[in-house]
Amino acid sequence: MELLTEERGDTLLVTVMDDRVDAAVAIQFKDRMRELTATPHPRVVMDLSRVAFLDSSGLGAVVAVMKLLTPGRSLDLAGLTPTVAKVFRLTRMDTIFTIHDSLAAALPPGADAA
Amino acid sequence: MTGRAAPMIDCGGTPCQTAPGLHLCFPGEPMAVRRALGQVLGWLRDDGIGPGDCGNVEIVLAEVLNNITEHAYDGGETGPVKLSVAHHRGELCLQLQDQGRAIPAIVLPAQDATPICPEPQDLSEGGFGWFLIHALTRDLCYCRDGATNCLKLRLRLEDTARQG
Repeated sequence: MELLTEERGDTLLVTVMDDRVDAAVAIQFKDRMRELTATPHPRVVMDLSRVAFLDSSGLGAVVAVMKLLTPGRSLDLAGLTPTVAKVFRLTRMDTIFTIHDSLAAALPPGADAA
Repeated sequence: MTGRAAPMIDCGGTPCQTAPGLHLCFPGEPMAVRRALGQVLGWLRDDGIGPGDCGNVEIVLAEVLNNITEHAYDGGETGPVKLSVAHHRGELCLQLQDQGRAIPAIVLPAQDATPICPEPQDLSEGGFGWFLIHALTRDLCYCRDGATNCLKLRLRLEDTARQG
């Protein structure tokens, strides 16, 4: 499970490099995200544009990541591919998370990479 | 990894056409499930199934197969999974057999279409699997024949051009 992080102003950008977030890797994904989000950034954006497929285990892991963030911190999702978007839509999780069509839409203009 | 055509067990639902079709047999563990899903999707695309319908099959199969590996075989000795996929008259028929524990009756009936959305801190991290299966399948039929679970599911094709 490969996750890359980058600071963009007060936003922590996490890019999921794997193409599947499923039962095979959900636990590792959650554990790694817990480590990576132990930062002061009030906003976390997860770039899922490279993820072609996410199952209910992956969805549960994303929910767990959101719950792990202390109150006042937010988790936004960006770049959901069609099947991933369908899973969020069918489960109504698209009403729980702020979902951006693209990474550009998720990141504030003028926030430069560190 | 192909096996013989899965025998039809009549559990009262409309039987699927299992031949011709795709027939796989693989161990009930996560990486083998990934490979099987890849094979199924390749077969569907070669058969002209559209991307939306392929996505629906991938979601349903991933959830059913996860249930088999995590619950039917429940962390003990894994066992074989037989999977058949057939395309027939605008529908896709999936049939799965395993030698694991029986499916609890409580998860089988179709659930209320609207998941409850509580406060974020109270959100469930699980339970979405059967909801997704019911949301995307036209019907499903389960029976147990001795030590064998048999699950049949049908999906209606939505975005695939109807083949004459």
